[in-house]
Amino acid sequence: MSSALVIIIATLAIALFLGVRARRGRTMSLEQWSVGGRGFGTIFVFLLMAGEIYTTFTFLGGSGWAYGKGAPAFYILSYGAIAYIISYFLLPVVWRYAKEHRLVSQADFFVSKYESESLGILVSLVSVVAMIPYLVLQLKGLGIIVSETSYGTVSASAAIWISSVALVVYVVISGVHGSAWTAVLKDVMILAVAIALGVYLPIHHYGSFQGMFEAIERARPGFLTLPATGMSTTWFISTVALTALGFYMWPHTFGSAYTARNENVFRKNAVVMPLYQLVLLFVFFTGFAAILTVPGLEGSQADLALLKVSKQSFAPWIVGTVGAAGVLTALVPGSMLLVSACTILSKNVYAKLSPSASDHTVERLAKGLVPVVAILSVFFALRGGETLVMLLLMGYNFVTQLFPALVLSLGRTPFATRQGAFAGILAGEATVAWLTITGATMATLFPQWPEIVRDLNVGIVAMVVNVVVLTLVTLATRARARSAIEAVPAAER
Amino acid sequence: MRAHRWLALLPVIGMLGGVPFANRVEPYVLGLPFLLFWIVLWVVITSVVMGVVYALDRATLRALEDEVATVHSRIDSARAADRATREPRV
Repeated sequence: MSSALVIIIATLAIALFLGVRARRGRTMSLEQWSVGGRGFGTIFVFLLMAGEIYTTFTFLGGSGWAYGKGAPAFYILSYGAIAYIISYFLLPVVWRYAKEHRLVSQADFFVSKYESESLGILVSLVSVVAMIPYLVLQLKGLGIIVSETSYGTVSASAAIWISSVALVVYVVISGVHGSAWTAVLKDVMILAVAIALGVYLPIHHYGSFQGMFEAIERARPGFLTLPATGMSTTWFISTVALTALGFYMWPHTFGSAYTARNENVFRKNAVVMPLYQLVLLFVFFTGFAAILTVPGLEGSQADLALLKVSKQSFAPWIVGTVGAAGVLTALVPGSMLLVSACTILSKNVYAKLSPSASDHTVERLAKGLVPVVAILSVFFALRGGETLVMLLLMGYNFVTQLFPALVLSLGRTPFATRQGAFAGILAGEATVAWLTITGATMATLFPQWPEIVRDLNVGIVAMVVNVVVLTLVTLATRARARSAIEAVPAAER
Repeated sequence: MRAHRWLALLPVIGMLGGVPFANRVEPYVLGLPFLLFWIVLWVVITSVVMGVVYALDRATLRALEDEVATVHSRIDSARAADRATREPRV
């Protein structure tokens, strides 16, 4: 057995141990299992939310984009900062309301604010549909990481099976407490690995950071700036804006906001998170360093840039450490996705459809669903091809469509009516599905318009449809309610 | 009183609004091509600005609490005075 494999297996074992041990001394009610009894302090919430930044997508995709696309990759660094600014104002309000009404999932929030069970079911289904491809992508990434860093001794599918079993075990036993504890291990490892690679590789291969960028600019002029068309500055700004809005709309991120002990946790996080995010810079550096060191990775192969350049530059035990850190970047978000998806399916779908179900049944169903959802995801991860990327893109756009109805519900009485919120979300999601399936872009929709419009992120169309439908239906239902009241003779009023 | 919260818009405008002008390789700053430096700079400023907003938020809250406390103590002393005047003289 190679030293790389030993390190990967040891890390997985430690993660499993920490995850299971996290349960100690607690009875796992649904509230404990899914939102940690709302007792997490700044550091745990910070780590859970940081779990969202460093997923396999950012680890492999961030370096892959820097390698394959260049400057457009910088959007990954920008949207987080904007999202944290939004979180400063949004999350304390959400948290306060959630605590007062003892909410455990994102759908609960919509149900409670709009007093509409059917809206809750709609939101639940939308978010589960969005989360599954995200989970599948984590598992696929994990498979790639392990098979690469074990030098092929463990196949991708074996890696996916083994780590899914570990994931299910600690999620069922410890719920979100397990995620928080493995997040500690993950963040220590990812910080060490990202900084080590991002500092060492450019200096080792090019002498300095500037030396590396100058070499890239000579080899590929224009690679380090946004192009005039396509992924242009308009694309950049619109994509950052949309992604920042969608950031906290993922049910598991929204759910991690419920875990906080008090609302200042989010305010402090909004100050620290942007800096913490700068670690992504080193992930980019690694991708850039790979451009001239391991050239020729085309298309989706670009995602292997970080692993290939590590294998070429380091001894197996370092490669193993990179792989182990990569495995954790899949496990932590994976566990949060599992907890959220299963809580939602059980509490917001099943329990609503059969109201006689006891709390105990709902809780047992939530945990019972964990292996089911995991096996389904493993199946997709092993079989799914390119459609998966499409589903993930659709997933991100799906959850972003929840933003208008959520924000407009924050006031004491929601601006939107429940019919307005329902119709807006439905219209937005339908538009997203249609855009994704037809592969439409602003350029294909509005070919005559100037470049500045044609390069906009097409998600804006869905957002506009959503907001317009929400507003129109809200105004219509309000007007109807008003005329219904006026129709009643004054004496009876 | 919450006017300082508008500060939070600054990084959004700076980072995104500046991208069309900062979209260039030279000059290199701290070894980074200019566009990347620009984004990194604004990420750092985001953190600073949010730190300032947080500090001002807390200061505002403290001032409010102090005010409430003063009002309460005034009410208490007024009540005590009131009670004293009503007390039957022996």
